[in-house]
Amino acid sequence: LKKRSKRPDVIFRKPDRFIWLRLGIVAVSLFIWQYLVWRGGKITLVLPSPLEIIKGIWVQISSGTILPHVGVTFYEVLIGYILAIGFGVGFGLILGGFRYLTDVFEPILLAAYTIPKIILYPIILMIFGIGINSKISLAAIHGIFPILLGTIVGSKGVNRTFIRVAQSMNARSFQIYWKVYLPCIVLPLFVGLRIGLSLAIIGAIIGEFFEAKIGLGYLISYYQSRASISQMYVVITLIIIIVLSVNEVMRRVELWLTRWKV
Amino acid sequence: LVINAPSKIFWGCFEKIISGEFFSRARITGLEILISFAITLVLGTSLGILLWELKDMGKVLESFVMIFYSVPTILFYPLFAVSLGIGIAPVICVAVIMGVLPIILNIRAGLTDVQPVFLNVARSMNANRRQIFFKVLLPAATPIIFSGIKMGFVFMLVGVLSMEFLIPFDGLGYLVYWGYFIFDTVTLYAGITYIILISVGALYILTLIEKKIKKA
Repeated sequence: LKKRSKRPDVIFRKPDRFIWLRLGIVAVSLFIWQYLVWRGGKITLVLPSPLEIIKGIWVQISSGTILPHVGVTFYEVLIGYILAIGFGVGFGLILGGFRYLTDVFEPILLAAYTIPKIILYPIILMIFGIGINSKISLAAIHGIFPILLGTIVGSKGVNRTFIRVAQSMNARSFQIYWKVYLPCIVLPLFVGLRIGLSLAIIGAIIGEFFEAKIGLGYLISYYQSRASISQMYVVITLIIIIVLSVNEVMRRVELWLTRWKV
Repeated sequence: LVINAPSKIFWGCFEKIISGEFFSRARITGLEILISFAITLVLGTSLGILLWELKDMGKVLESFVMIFYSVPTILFYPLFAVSLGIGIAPVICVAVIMGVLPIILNIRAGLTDVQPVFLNVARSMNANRRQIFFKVLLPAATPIIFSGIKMGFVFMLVGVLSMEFLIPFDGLGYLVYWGYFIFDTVTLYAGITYIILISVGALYILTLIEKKIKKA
């Protein structure tokens, strides 16, 4: 889990001095892309131009064809993510609270984190069927490991003295969790929550892609089967915009929650 | 029907090895892993060093690499499958993109974070650029660089194995797909077991190497 050295004070920090250079690079690369497609040739077969993609996104949203798919995927990610948080934080607190359990389970969980979870999808499909339940479980399985590991890493780092001090002041156990544990583990926990959310989104979409009747992943595979590449780009661009903005929001919240840390 | 007993899975794995199916499939997977890792390493190292050399410009470009890092690359795979065809090429493409980003970021971070004192000492001893790079910068940055390579390898492995499952043509991932497709749970579980063993084994070996490097 990454460490951050500089912490801005507010959520909406001022852009740094490189902002124009960044925007310039983006503009130039988009222009080159547009130019390559305008020039025509073989590349138009596999790559639509940026303007076409923007137009496609507008058409998809204004005609409303994409909305039910977004809704279903959102529902799957939401339920899967809630499950992942519940189990992840719960087990994480239990495992992280006891030195022995942490030492036993952390290597196992790290190893499980690196397994490509999509490989387990056939088993999930056989258990839950091809409805949305299988996508919810795939999203939850994708999301749970970073959350679990973040909680464990966090509660391992809680200073025992703080807990003793709280106990000597007659704090109840829920007070200890709320006032001592939570502030201490908030940084690693939130890193886990952020990574877990983007993994849960990936899990749900990949699950839909493989076997589904509705959802954003299904939409991509539908356009793939009809070989309409520009529409595939439209849906994928939309997904990427969603994931990036979710990630950015989570990162800002993370900075804001931990602004008192050095 | 759905959950198999471990003993049955074990014998299934064993049978696949005896019949030679395991080796013919694993050869493709191994080939993909080797090619992807070679490309990932060369590309990641050179781009990382390039970004470090570019100083401020590298900082700007780094933020783009970071953005790419949080984009789920695996979602691009239908595009690669359509434009490169079903086969080994899209697998390697996705795996390389997934693996190369942490290596670039960590090499740049590792080289940038080397304490300036080391560099000043080396310069005061009249070391030339080449000597500074190989004798001072590289050893000082090795732990960070290696953890980047480890992450890159793990991501690349995930890329290869899941792509084989998603674009079924051959390899161990195909075993899982085929087992699901014809509802042959023994094959399915055997494939899953091989893949889990490979990823856990790779992680274990990398962790051992990392420990050795940290000790040195």
